[in-house]
Amino acid sequence: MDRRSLLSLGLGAGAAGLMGATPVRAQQDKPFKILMLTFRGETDVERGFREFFQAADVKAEFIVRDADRDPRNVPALIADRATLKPDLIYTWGTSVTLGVVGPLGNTDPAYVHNTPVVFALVAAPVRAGIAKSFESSGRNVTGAVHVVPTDVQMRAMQAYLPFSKVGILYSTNEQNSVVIVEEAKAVAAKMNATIIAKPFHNDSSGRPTSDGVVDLIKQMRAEKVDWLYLLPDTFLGTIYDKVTPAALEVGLPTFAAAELGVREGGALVGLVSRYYSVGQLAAAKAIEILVQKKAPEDVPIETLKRFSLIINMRIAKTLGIYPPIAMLNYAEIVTS
Amino acid sequence: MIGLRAGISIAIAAILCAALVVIGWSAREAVERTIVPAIAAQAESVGRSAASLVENAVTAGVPLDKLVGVDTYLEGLRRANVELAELKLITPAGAVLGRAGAPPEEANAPQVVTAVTARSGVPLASLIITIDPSVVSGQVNAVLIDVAFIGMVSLLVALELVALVVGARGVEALAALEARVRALSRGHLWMHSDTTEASPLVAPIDAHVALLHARHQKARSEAARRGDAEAISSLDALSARTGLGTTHAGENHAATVIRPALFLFMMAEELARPFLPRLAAEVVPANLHMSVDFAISLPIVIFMAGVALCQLPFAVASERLGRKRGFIIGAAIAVASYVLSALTDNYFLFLGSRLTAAIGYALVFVSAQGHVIDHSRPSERTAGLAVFVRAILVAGLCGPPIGGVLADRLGDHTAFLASAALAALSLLVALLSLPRSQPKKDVQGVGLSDLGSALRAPRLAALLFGCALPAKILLVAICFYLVPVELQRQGYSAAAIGRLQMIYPVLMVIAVPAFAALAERLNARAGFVVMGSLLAGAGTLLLLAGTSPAIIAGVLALLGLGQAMSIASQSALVADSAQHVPGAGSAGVLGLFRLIERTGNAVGPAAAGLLLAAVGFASSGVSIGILVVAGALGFALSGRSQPSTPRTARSDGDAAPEGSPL
Repeated sequence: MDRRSLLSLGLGAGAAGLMGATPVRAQQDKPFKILMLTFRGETDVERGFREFFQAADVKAEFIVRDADRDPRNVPALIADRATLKPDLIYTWGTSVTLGVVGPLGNTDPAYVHNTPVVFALVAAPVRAGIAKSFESSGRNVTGAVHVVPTDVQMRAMQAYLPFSKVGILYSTNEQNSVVIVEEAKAVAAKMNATIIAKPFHNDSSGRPTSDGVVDLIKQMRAEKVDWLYLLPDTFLGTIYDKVTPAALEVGLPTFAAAELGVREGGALVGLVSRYYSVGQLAAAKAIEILVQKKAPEDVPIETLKRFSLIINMRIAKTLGIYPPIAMLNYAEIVTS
Repeated sequence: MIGLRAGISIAIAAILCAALVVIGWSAREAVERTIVPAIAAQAESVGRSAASLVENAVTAGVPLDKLVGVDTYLEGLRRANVELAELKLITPAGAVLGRAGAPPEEANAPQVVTAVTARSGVPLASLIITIDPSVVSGQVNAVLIDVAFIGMVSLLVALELVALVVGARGVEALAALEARVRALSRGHLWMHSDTTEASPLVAPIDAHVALLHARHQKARSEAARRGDAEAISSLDALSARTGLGTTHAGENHAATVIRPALFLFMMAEELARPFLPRLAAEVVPANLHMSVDFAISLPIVIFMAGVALCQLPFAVASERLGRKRGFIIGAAIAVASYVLSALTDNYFLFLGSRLTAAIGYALVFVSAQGHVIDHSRPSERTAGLAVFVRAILVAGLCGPPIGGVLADRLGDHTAFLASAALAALSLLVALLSLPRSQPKKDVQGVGLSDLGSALRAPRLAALLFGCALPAKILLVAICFYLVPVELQRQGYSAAAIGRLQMIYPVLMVIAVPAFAALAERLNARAGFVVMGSLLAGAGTLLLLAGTSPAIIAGVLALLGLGQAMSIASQSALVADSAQHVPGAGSAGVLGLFRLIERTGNAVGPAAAGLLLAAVGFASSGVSIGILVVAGALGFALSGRSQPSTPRTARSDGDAAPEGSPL
């Protein structure tokens, strides 16, 4: 597993940048102050972030604050920044990042405009209005993207168990999810397969709700769907505990695009950027800014080059759907 | 009776062959000792990794009877390891959990069995791998074929360089000795006038023969003084029978002297044949405004065109410079060009280096040819130029396979450096072996008007444009461009391409003398030209049946056979025509012949490059083949309306059959 996680690092550029930074680090008289803003408590991303600083021998003081799964809490987390004076702000996910820097072009002083911000786990920073482009955000932001391209995901799914129909549940108010559904349809068409996409029901305020999700899954099974594909949909990420048991109940295998989905969310298999590695990549960017004094807009936004296939063998046993043995050569097996 | 030099050559060949047999045999022994256990070890390692994967699956919780994708996995292993005939996963009870391949036909094929065990140590299954011994012996044979080819080629190189090893003077001394011994053994007592100074080896013989001559002379003048008619007639009869009192011209060695240097130089260029298109493809820039196929053909086109255009002016230039200086300057230009070709990644610089290489090549070629002509009497030219042409052909035979192996092992760029090294070596050899230059001031070249008047020679235009031009287009297009490009696309190594490129020169070396003699005897030169062209052209039709290496080899063989059939007769016909053109027109005919042929060399790859992009490999080859057939038919028809030209006893030396494309 260590070899595989090393392979999945994709940190060449960041690590190379560090080598040149040694003399600067020697002059570091006090630790950098880094404000870490998480969405649902600390994950492996933060662990990867901190441990990369340690490994690079860059001293840093981490102040961790959590939005408790509600973007509305973000303004309060950065209210004291004038007195706190962090050297850099780390943000987890799209909603926290947007809450800190605001949409591109917005000059509202409530947002952070000068302190460098490094994000991790933002699926589509350009589409979300966080950055102008991957090459340069055009502002005080850079970071690490964690998505695995949709076609790569679908091919991994096909290799595990060939399909002709794939079901997708998504939130209509998440533009990122809508785009991925379209991408999945295009990829499926090339594979002579079809996508059955069903949106979550919305509540009276127009927000997606988990009500009726079990029925949606039963409907999909009735429509002879072979796989349920769990997109990197923020709302879906909060209701894995309702979705995956329902799928298991009707014998439907689930394929997750996020690590948490298969590690804790009860999905059968997932092709993911490992959270720990995404954290390391984000830390490499932070060090470029802090140690090499690069402007954030000069540090390109990147995604990992290698991905990890994770198989939940407990789910495989329950479903009786086992992976082809060749997959065990590179997959990581979990049994949680 | 075998000549002295031939005997030495045969002795060297025999020693080398024996060495080759020993090397080949011990190679086979070594290969069988090492490859068979290596394949068994490989099977064991494949077995261990497959077994451990199955163990991992079981440990992870996959029940043994629910394993997924075992057949596919084993099939993948079998594809990656061709020497494994069958892989089978079976339970102790005999149930087959997965299988790929089939057992080999041979009984007692070696098997490697690996146990799959649970963590507890309980045996779960066995993975049985059966090795295919025929694949093993196939691999051994492939290695031996490589060894045999390299051996054969080095044998040829060694024979070619005998003169270099013994030294030009040594060769001449041996030849002089051989001529004397042979003459004496046949009862010929004539004096020998060699071009070289007397060597200590032949001086005693010459002294004795000279003594005999002096006595004969003395006896005859004594008889004349006495008026003894009977004595005079018997002395004259003796003279007529034994050659006493006459001097016999010795053999000419101009070609022998220049042969090693020329051979090395030609090898330098021939090395690049199998990998030149691949190297060109590497340096073609992406944003070029022409098709990639044409861009790949352009380096060959530029080289051939350069050689064609430089030929006539350089004939004059090399005479003014002197042959040795011309050779050395040409070789130096070529060395610099090969180094540039090897080092540059820029397409246009690469093209430039091919053009300068052509300039060097043309200068070396005309200087070497001029050397042979300068240093031989007209009656000796045919033989001298035949030696010269054989050196070029053997270089064409040895260069491609060696160049292919070099390119595969060291890379295309480094292989070009090998060309540079060979050309530099030839420069050195020329420096040491060629006689001092004798530059001439007032040299008349062949003018354009001579070329024009040459065209009026009977039937010449039909021969040149119907047969000579298409023949060269076909040769260069197929052998140097289309075949290497296509085989590279099919994934064959440069060494394999080089081996296929040997087919043409091998057939030429073997078949040209036979066909030339046959055409003379049957008095059917025109017929041989037409038949040969038809055979070579129609051979390309094989491509309609497929483009496997075997079929391509067939096309190349028919091309070689067809051109071997036509080439000598074609040269003889041209020489006949030349004799019917007065004055400088005669030289004009030969100049025109070479110019047309070399134009064909340049047009061939260009046409093939354009055709390849438009219609693909097979259709390109067939189209050019049809052109050749049509040209041959045109020439055949042209002969019906005109009386055939009277045949001369022997073709002029200047038009010696030239098998090389250049």
